[in-house]
Amino acid sequence: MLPEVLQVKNLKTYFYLSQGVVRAVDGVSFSIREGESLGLVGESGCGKTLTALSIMRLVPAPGKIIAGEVSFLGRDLVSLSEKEMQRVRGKEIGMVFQEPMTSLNPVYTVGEQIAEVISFHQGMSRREAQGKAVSWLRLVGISDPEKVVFFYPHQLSGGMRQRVMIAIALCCYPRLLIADEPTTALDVTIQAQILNLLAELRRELGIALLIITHDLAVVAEVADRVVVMYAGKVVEEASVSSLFNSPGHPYTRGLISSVPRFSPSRGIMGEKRLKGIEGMVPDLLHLPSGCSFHPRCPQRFALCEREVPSLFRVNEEQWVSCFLYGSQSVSVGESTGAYD
Amino acid sequence: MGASQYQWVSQQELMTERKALLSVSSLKKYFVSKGSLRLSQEQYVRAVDDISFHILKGETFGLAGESGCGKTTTGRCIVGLEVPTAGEIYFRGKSVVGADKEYPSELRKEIQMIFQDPFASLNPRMKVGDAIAEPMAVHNLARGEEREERVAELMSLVGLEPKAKDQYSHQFSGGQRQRIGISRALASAPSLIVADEPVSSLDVSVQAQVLNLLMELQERRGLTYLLISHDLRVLAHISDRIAVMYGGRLVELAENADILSHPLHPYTRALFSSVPDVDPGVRGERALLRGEPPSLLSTPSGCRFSSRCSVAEEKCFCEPPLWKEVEPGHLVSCHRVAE
Repeated sequence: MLPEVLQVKNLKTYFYLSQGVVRAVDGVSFSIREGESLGLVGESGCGKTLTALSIMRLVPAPGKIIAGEVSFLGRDLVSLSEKEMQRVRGKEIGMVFQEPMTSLNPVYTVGEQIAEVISFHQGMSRREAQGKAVSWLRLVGISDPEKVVFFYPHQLSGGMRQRVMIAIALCCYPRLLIADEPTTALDVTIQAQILNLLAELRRELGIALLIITHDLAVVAEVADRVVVMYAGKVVEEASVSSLFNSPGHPYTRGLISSVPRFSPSRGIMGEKRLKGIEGMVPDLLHLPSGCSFHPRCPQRFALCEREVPSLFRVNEEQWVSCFLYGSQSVSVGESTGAYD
Repeated sequence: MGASQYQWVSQQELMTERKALLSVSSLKKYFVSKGSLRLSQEQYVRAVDDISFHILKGETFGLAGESGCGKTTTGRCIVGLEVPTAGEIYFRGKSVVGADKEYPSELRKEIQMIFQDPFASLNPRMKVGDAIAEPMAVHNLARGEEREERVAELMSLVGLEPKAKDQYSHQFSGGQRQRIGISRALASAPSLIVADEPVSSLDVSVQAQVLNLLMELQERRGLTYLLISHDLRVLAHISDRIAVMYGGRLVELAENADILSHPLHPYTRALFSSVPDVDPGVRGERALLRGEPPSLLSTPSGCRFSSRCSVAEEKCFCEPPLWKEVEPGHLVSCHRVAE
């Protein structure tokens, strides 16, 4: 087995607000091997983006990483100084955000923005870096890169901007790429182009990928393994085939059955209704006791209201945090990691 | 602008089978865009450029397409938020909307809209009960206690606690707000509902609940829907018929099972094959579209899709294809399919 690039252990990122403590990321553990693609899925507010921001040490105030380890190629990122961290961001870990318009600087040309990263991390002159920028634009599939390199972000379409973001994220050959909802703002044909591009570049450059999305179909498309989050916790971790063929956690099952299938379905009256999940995502300030999912869970029993289940191993490639698969609960302060 | 190139005969046959509730005939909507270099030079954005279709009574008509294809503008013309540049809209067989017609107020009662963003479409300073009652006040439908009763009834119909009528919209979640939007749309007892991306801003688990609600309301109240969405999985799930738009025109229209199992237009095929499905087993090669949709400012003289089409031939670049019924109920505008 290939060595691990990233190991996240019992990561906790809390927000201390006047109304109380928001446990946005609450004991999350997972790892990514070299060249592997891991999908992090969940609905809004489940902590998936904050997990990524915590890895990059970009948690917005008043949030704080209060516990846990993020070990990247053997170094613990949580304990690095801000200066050392700057050398990691953009060089060893690249990141692509959801909104390419807000993450590109409107007053610089795209060439300058790619060149900035290259000259900062690789000590290249601006002129050399600008030349590199052209070849990166070509690599991410932009036609006429010699012209586009002088364009400002507003002159590009959403899909092209996202290609530029990918060029910026990859131009220093990172070992890990974190992509947070990289295709959510894009049309479906452009989404297919971008997902295809990511897969190609990942294969060519051997980069590990952490892809964060709310769209299960995107995960089915690009991920090797999947981590499902709910209310700040990992509820299931599985290989992509086990996750979709035999989802373990009732939340995962509900999530999968909520997605309409792209097939002729109308007319078969029995199958018309989507199964879905009752109720809604809980407020992180007032989380239910025990397992956070229990009020919405069709299979809940008494224990679920009192205790938080730990992550149980179902088979070689699947872990589920649900009392249907074991009886051990997590005591306060203990980690829920499968890697301990 | 020339004569419309649509053929009506075959659609007339369709109409006799089930009556059309709403018909759109050669609808055009151009927006004026001032040229960026010379301010005097006016250009037209051909957002909707000569489209025709019928919405049958009791059906869910899905309008698919990518951003900028004109699907939202079509919906806005139907509900009277835009005045069409040319063309007509018929409701129950009567011409009601046109370039030189005032939008009839009875139609505002009959046709209602559900908007995409439930955060932006509700007045934050209005109690939700009042927001739901407003259409009844506008149309003078029920008064006093009767109106209160209707509000309570509407709220429970969409799965909201009638007790919550004195709360404000910020006190509700996205899914609940969309339910408020739906009950408000139902307040004037409309027969047609235009739903523009009604579930796009919702989480998947909540999206499923709202889609179920829309289907249930249709069965209970005999509603007709025009569902506008870029999400093909949603459209495939709840539409009876699906129309696909590209660059301001319709490229294909057919029954759900028909269009999904054998799409004919090259654009429809590429669009459908871009949709990822929740099944890692079918991961594989897709018919990827190169390039991006054309600007609506300078539309090509031939087929709008010709520049990106993999099977385009000479004719496609100079001559716009006709909108033809190639199989019963299956309409396509493509030179290559019609051959």
